[in-house]
Amino acid sequence: MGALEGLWLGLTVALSPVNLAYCFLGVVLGTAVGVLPGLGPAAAIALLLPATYAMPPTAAIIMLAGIYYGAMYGGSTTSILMNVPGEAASVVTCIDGYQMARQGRAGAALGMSAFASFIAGTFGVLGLMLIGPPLARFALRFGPPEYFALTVVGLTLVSYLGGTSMLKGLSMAALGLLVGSVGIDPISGYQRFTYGLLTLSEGISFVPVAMGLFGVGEVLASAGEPAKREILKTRLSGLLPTRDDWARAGGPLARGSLLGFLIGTLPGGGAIIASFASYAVEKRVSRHPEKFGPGAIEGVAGPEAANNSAATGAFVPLFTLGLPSNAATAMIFAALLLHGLRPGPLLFTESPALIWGVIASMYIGNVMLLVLNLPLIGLFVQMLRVPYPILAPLIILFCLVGAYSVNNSLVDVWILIGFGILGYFIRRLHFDAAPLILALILGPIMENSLRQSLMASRGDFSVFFARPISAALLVLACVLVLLPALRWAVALWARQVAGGIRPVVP
Amino acid sequence: MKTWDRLSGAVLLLVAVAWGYESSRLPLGQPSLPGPGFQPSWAAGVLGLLALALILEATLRRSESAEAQRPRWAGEGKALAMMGCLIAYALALNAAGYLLATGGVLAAFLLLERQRWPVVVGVALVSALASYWLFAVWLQVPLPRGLLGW
Repeated sequence: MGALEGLWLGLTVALSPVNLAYCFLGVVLGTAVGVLPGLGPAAAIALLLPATYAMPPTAAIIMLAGIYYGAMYGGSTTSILMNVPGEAASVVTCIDGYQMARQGRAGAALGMSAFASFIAGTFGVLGLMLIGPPLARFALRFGPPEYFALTVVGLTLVSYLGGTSMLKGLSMAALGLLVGSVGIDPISGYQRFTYGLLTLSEGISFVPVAMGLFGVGEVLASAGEPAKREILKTRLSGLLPTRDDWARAGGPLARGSLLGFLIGTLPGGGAIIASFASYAVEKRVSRHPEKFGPGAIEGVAGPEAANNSAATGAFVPLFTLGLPSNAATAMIFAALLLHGLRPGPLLFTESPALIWGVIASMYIGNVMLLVLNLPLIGLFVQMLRVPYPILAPLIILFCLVGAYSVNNSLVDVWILIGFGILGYFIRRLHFDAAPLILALILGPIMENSLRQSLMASRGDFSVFFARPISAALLVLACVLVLLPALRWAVALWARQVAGGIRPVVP
Repeated sequence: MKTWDRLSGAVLLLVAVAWGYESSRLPLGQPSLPGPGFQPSWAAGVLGLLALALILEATLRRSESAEAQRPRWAGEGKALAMMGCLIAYALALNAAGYLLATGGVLAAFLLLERQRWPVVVGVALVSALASYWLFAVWLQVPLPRGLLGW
């Protein structure tokens, strides 16, 4: 099926009243999640996963996808008006967006942010539509060695790009692989680490782990933060950027859209890195880099475009290879599994109505978001007045009842609480939860492809290097792991050499 | 942060050793037919090596400023109390039933957030009842009824 044919099919699916309603609900919830600091899209999707059981699969994925890209729109509002990022990908928008608001140009910053999000979001969907089907066809040639190599590179890249320390990221990935090995072994049927608990036979459920790490962990970690946050009192008029604003923002917008999409397709890339990369690029190419910081519209347009196209770009590996590239798409991966769908290249041929319906809904969702974010911005700002001390217990309530309702089991509540406490320490000790959650999802794929490869090659490990794609991917993973180790060893050696040289005292 | 990184490394090393020991009790198989203990064994080995590297890296790291040495601890007393509330909730859920346990844990969280009594009672009651209606009545999730039957 060609892209245009697929889009036509998708539009017939996405424009049905039920799917339109769920798309609207998703983008409204996404904007709300983006606006509210302390609740990210990954946590919101995790909270809503149990509620999607009763929904048709297409409507469920349309809604969850809407939450993810909708959050990118909402995040900028809090950054611009409060200097607090509504969600992590809007951190950079605080720099120039807040300064613009302080100078009385909050309307222009919010308006440009909404337009940049819309243009880049639409660009991202176009990219997904054009790249997705050929990549999925290409991925059909992949065998177990390629899938093993892809999961290795995915986890390495997430650890490399995600947090402050690669060692910590990789440790979390290894821990995730171990957690993912709990349950019945899919090949031999052997019970692993279940200790007689029937609930654990099917493995540790993804939903309570995700809710614990991202929902409960976030609430616990926010316990010491100030409850009251100042909202800048400013006029919200003049939301339409001026001709001069457009002239200055055009380049950053185009570069941000492209860069964001490319980074978004990488495992571990995601919207956060895309927005930082866009800001750095714009400052580098600008003839007036000194204007970045005191309130340059380029510093709002570029990163806001980048985080939106990255959010859409993240669907490329999910839909074509069946590999989530960040925590939020990992939740959508889990939602696909919950509805009995196998994410991967066959989705385009086996469930074209679902895939194209979701892609088409993204075009519609972006239009809805633009309409919602311009005239209703004041309404979303009012949401910021809901005090966090009231919101936090409600997040906990959703986590507790959501975790219980997965299997109607108290074991899942214990898993939620255990991973919530782990999530607290992960945040406090500067670890990163994303590699853990991705390893939990990718672990079974990695194990199956590893064992199938070895069985097919009769125990010959060179099978991973005999095929060009898996060999190239594994070499990339090795380079990614060895680079920081090499850099660290060289720095240590240089310090020791420098320490050994004593200044000559006359 | 050095001390905390060494401590985290030590905890991860303990997890790796324990998991590695448990994995070694599963059939490992051979390279041509890997068994159920194959992946957990090497994953535990990798975690152990990474934990050792974390301890080594933190030990050899140049001494940090006093500011950098502290992790971002803030409100740890409140966080610990919240953890205690959650554990008590899980222990009490089956005996107390969903409504009582959930109302109780919400009230405890709101009290920890220093909310006034009317807010505590109002939010806890309305939220517990609304979530009960949503999940137990509308979505037909069999929530624990407890000894009192609700």
